[in-house]
Amino acid sequence: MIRVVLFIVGIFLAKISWTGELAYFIHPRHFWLIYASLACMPFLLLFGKDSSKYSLKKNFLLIPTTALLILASIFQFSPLTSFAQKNKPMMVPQVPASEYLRSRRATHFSFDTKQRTLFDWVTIQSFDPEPLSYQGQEVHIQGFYYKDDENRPMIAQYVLNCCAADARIIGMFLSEPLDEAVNTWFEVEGVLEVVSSENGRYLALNVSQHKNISTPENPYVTR
Amino acid sequence: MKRGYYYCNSIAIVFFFIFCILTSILVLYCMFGLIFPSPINDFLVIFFGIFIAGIPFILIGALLSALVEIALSPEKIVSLLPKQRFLKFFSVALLGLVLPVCECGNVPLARRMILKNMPPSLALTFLLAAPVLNPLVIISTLVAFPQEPMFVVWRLLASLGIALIVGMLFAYIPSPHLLVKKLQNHEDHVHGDSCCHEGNHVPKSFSRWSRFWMVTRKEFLEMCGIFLFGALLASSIQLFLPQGFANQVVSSEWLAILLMMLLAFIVSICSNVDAFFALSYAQVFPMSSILAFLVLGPMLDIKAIPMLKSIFRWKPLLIIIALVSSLSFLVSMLYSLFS
Repeated sequence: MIRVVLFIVGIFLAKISWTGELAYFIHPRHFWLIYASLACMPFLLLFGKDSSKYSLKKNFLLIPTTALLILASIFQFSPLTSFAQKNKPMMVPQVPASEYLRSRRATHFSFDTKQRTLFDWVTIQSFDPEPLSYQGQEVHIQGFYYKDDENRPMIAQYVLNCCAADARIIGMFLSEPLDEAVNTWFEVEGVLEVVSSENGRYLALNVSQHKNISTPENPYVTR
Repeated sequence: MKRGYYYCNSIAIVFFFIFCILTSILVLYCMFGLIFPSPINDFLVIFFGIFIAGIPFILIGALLSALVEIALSPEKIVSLLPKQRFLKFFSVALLGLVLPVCECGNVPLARRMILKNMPPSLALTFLLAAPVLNPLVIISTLVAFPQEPMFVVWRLLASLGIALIVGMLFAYIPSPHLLVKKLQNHEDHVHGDSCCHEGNHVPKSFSRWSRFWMVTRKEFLEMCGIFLFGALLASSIQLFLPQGFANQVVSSEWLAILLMMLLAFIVSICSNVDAFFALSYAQVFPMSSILAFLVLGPMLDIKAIPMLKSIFRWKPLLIIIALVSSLSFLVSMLYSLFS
């Protein structure tokens, strides 16, 4: 029985490695650890004897564990969706309506703003949060459609440091909602504009065109 | 040990039923070819994310424990310790760096070292420090918190400090007041058996390498079982904990620390992979409470109490629990002040 469970663990690891689903679970820099573990499985399976005294009755956790792993080997996973963000706080760069902010760390980027990814935009905004600095700049990014707690439309992506457990969402507001289902991946082009709300001012993307895309091979931003 | 066995079995039964429900849902979806709705998919991605990130460390831990089991003798370790008092405590606290066994594996080793005339206060220092101060745990914590190297340093220093303080305090109590009467030598006892699985002995007739692979296999699967339980709990809390409750807990740092200490005590997750488990709480709970979880968990949990009871009497054991818990709380509060 022990070897059967080990075999199924091996099958599960092989399946997610082969289909590329491994990228949905952990950061790519840890892939080699999984491949190495997978390479160890044959040694664990083939070498040494087992004691007949190893009682399945006392280790009955192995049965549901095995069943779960078998089904996980069959099941087609998809990347994290907006649901995973439900109970978590989200950092939205928002500044007071009456005050012009100027960060001392802010700088002018001379390259084409259309080259920036969603993560680049969020990073730059964390250095210089003043929305007016970006007004009128052209944007070309991809992500999935997301609506925040206040039902504001966004284009979003998850950032991963280690594994899916630490995934946190980043995103850019859209000035108008799109006729798309939440969690659909799309590529979007448009111009940035400043939107005022009762809580302050924030940047939003005025979409000029968008097209649906398939879920990327690595759907998360990995740092 | 019998009571400990029942404790572990009660957890296992709860785990079994949760797993059965989860498995049934999966079977239904697979049978009818349905597409998983987002909540189930996200739950499974986080659940298996934690599990997959932990697998390599569980495997390395199992291989190392098996190696320690077949290659090291407690007599040798005891004879190599320095003579000076503080150095002796310090070197025992750092023994985990060369004997990287988790909190399940170090109890049988500590018992055998006591039987080879190691003072119980020294064995206690080893028991408290070794599950954290070992290379595997250091690496896994660094992997889980790559942006927080100082947090890893805090974890190591806190564990070292608590182990030294508690161990050196207990050096003033005579051994007969600390130890259980029947501390007998079980030479066949293998790592992992003592946790929840009494009676799984490795026959002496097996060759050394047969024993090595057998211990590795058993260790790996037993740890996987416990880790899956932890992952189940972590992913459920992360996705389904009401935001209001989380905010309430987070608003009070000491409450968050106490809650995470309680969680560490209940989930009894192996120190090799507890950082991945804690990671899922890092977005909601303050880092000081995550530190409390990572410091207390490897020293004390439901699974460790019966194992420690096989060495210490009830009274000293309760003092150990009180001391370790208070010091972990104190260290976490200090972290929140200075970080």
